[in-house]
Amino acid sequence: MTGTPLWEKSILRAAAGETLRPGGFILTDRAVTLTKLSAGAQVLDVGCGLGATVRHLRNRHGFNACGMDYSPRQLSEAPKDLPLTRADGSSLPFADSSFDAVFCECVLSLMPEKEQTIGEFKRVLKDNGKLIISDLYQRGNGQIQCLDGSCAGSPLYLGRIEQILKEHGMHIATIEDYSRLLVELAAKLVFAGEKPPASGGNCCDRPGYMLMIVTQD
Amino acid sequence: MSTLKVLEEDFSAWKCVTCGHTLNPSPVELEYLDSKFNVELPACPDCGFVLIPEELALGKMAEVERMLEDK
Repeated sequence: MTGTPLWEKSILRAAAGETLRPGGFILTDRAVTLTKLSAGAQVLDVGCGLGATVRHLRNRHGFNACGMDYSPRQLSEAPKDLPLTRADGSSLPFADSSFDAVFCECVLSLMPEKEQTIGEFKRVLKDNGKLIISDLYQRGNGQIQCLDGSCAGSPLYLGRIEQILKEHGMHIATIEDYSRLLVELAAKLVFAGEKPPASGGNCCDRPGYMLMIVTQD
Repeated sequence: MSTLKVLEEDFSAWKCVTCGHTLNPSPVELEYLDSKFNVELPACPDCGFVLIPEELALGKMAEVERMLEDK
């Protein structure tokens, strides 16, 4: 990885707001609707960044939400009154069967150990707990990972994710495409002064964006 | 969503040809192909005339249009 990652640049905050991801809370709220979570639910936000989603889940939906992030810089800028922890997503500091839902929004594509990370999600979820993933994904059938250090450079290959979920006794219950939100965020970044994404010839030229709800078998 | 600052050049010396008022940086909503963007552009405080500099129209705006068309 070279230079400051996009998610720690002020220009992303200007373009995307405090959530630092396409669509802001639109997909978070959509996931809450799809999962039918009740007020008081125990919820974990993996890769919580500045804590905006944890605050939203607590204030808007009444969940008992907490968050974790690997970046001390992001956590240092988050509100101090939120229950946020510094941790690695592939080694969660929570007991088995702790959560009704795990949110992982625009984060999994950045994590190198996807098998172990998803295994951790499964471990901390209760028996009927739901996993919510929104992220960039490879459109088409390519399986090549383009790891250049930015989320746009390593979109998820959904076939592999589905396989990992199956190995952990989970499956995709719902998946919806929101690629338009990704394009709109890219457009906002261009307005804010970021260089437009280069159009080369690799598999990651035009990644899509999706929301998936994962349930347990 | 916050308003995006899209211009670096200072247009405070420009005046509205109709009203004669100095243009002020103002929040403007740009819409293209069902996508909306809140940006800051010089505008007349009286009649609402908005100045879109040529460099912006042929630069960032053209690039955004291309991205939205090529989704």
